[in-house]
Amino acid sequence: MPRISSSAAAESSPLASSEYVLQVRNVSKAFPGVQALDNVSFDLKPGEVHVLLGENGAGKSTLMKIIAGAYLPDAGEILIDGQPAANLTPRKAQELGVGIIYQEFNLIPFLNVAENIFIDQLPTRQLIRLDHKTAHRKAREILASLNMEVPTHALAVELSTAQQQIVEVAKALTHNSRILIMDEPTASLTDREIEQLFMTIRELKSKGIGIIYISHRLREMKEIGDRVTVLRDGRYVGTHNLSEVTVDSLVTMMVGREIDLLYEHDEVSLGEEVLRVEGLSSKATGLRDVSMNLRRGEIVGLAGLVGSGRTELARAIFNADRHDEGRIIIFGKESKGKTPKDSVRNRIALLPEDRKRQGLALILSVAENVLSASLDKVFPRGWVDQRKQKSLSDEYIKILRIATPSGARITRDLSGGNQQKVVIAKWLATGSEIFIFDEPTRGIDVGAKCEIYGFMNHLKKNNCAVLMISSELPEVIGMSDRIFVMREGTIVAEVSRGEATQEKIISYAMDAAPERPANSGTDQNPARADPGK
Amino acid sequence: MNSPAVAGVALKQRLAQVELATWASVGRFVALIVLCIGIGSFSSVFFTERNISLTLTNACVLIILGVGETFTIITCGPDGPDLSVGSIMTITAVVAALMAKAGIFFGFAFGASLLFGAAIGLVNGLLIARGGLPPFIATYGIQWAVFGFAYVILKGYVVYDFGADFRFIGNASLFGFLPMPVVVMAVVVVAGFVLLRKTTLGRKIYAVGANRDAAYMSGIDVSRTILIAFVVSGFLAALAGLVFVARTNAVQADIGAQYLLTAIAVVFMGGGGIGGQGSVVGTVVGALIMTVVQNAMDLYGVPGVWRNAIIGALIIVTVLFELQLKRKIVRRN
Repeated sequence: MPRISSSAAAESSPLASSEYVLQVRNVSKAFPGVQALDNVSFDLKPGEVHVLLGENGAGKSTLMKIIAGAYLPDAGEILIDGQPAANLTPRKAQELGVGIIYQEFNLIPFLNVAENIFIDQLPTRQLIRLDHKTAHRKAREILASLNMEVPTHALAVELSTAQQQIVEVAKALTHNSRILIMDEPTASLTDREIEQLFMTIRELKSKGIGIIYISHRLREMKEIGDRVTVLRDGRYVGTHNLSEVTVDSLVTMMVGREIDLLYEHDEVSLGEEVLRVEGLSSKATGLRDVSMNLRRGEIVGLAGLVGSGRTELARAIFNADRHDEGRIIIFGKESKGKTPKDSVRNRIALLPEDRKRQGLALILSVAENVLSASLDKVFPRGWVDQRKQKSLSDEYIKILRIATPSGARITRDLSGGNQQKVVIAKWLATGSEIFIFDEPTRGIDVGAKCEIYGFMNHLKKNNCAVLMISSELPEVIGMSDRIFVMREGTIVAEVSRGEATQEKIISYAMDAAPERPANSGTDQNPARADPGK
Repeated sequence: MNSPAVAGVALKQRLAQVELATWASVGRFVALIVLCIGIGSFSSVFFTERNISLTLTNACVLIILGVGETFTIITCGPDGPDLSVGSIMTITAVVAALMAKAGIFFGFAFGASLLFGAAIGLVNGLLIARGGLPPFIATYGIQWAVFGFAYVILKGYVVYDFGADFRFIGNASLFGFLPMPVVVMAVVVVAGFVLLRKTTLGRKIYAVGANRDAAYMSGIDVSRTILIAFVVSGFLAALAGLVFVARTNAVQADIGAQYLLTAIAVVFMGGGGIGGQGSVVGTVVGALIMTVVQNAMDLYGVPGVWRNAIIGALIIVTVLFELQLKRKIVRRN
């Protein structure tokens, strides 16, 4: 594959740059309301594994996408082989040797391995006739060079996760990739498969390929990685040789933030238990033996990494997904509910993580959304009383200070924070007493965040119970009376407000705790179903 | 402080608060009026009582079917047209006609036909809501089956000449000037409007169409709502079949086929098409535009070869206009 090169640039670049296959210099990128990357630098040598570490939302994905040409940076530059690569597109990045393996594989299920490997460059004879023979031969060669055996005639759907990953690696190699980005490559592999993957990675290193390795698993990155760069809140924290840092110091680098004073927290005397989960398991969603409880007058935080099963637990409690084993007890009675409809009747509210997809009908009016979960309660006879609708929705607009000219406005026109308030209004209107907030402040500006915290505190003081899922540790610690930490589909620790620190929670969440809590005994990797169904 | 400029700003702010859907429906209505005035000023016949009455009567079957399609398209979006309405129209007309021929009381024949139509709608709804079939496949399959059944019953014959009581809803007039089909149509339109706008069921239909996941997570019984939309559509298709057969006084196994796609098109012309959008009033205006243009082509004696081309252009232009208007308003905000 021809490389785009400019001899002028090559001459002017400093000699030292040939040491690096990739240099990211002072890159910034903003999205509406968020500074995703702020003056971040990163470099990669040929034949090294450079780990990119950070919490959810630290800016890893954004950086990865900028390197792969999916986003253009607002500021800063990218050098590949010491030459500036401006205005990267995914195509151009690929031509320059950047390969990326996303966490969700991009294989086409009903094509075979060879076809998938050569998906965009199938060998042809006489221009149009596909040359299957050559494709399979070349595919076997590439796989053999990785010391891997995958039958090239097998369809992608028939492969194990690990095999699919190998095919993705092979696909990247067909483009002569010299920079390979791997996003959480071990997330769904078993221990044995991880060993195999590491062998592949060592093979790639010996070929001089530089690997950017994104992972949350601190222990395994110590095993495979050479250097590590830590990002926090979109900013560069530091780069170190992995042989010279401890797991603990990595954790500190990741979370080293101060808890702001924006968290409104009142001590409220605890009431009766309103929710109890006992031994909840579900094959489909990967929940394993989850037990927890929730009382009136408290906010319980649910911490853990993305994919640890927090949303799945919330959905199971809300009857949005079925579970195989275990009991859910609501207000002292075992829940026999089958759908969210039963949960709404049981006075449970779930404010979903993806409010645009699951929380709101964006093309309907604010007033219609506010009443959408309580139609049968507000209008028991089935007739919609427009005046009642208006007075009710106006009341919530006022209480929650939803910034909208009127309840008739289309919800899509509101800002993210105000849309979230519409979701809150919707659940207030149902008269619910158990509120589950899933990432309530994601993508919301600080002002609206404060209001939402104040509102949760208000619910608590009014004898309701709140379960809050959040990936923002300061928020979890600032708001919660107790915190459950989840990892790999189960609750691994309960931390009281007094003893909660970011370091402690993150080490439970990432399996970096010095001692394991009692209810997680084995070291096997659970087969996790895809959470984003 | 009450200068014209201030008043202008106030008016502008007031207008900015008027919702998109309102603008679109006003625009649609104005288009219909302009169309009527345009045709009327070139034709002395257009505004005569006879022609108005005829045009409205002609529009009835289309409007009744269109209201049914409005329900399913709001609920299921652009994939949601009920393709079986033509066949339901046919089978119920056939069943009612044969019962009438056999001397069965016409009221009973009507009732049985309507229930039959609703039952076919229920089958559609079950296949879609419980079976998970795409509406296109479910209703298309049912259409084949039902048309086939109608052929089996009629064996290619035409049944005609029913009693006066049977033909009542097609031929009679209320108060001597209101044709019965128009009365039936008006009842359907009002009922459809009330159901969609004034009941919690209507709210659920819009909510399911606008965002099915969000509706489910709000505790709305999504599959029941879809079921009801298709039952309504089936019921109205049966009613359209009865009006049709009572008016034409004859039935054969392929009536209804001609109406199907037009009934879907008028929903789009009336602002429907995306789930959670559309209205009975919009559909009625769309159907009237369609019928008025057809009437104008009759009046001017437009040759048959041109008619189809004109109808095609009309559908495309109307829906394009609709989309452009919406886009402009979105940009303004």
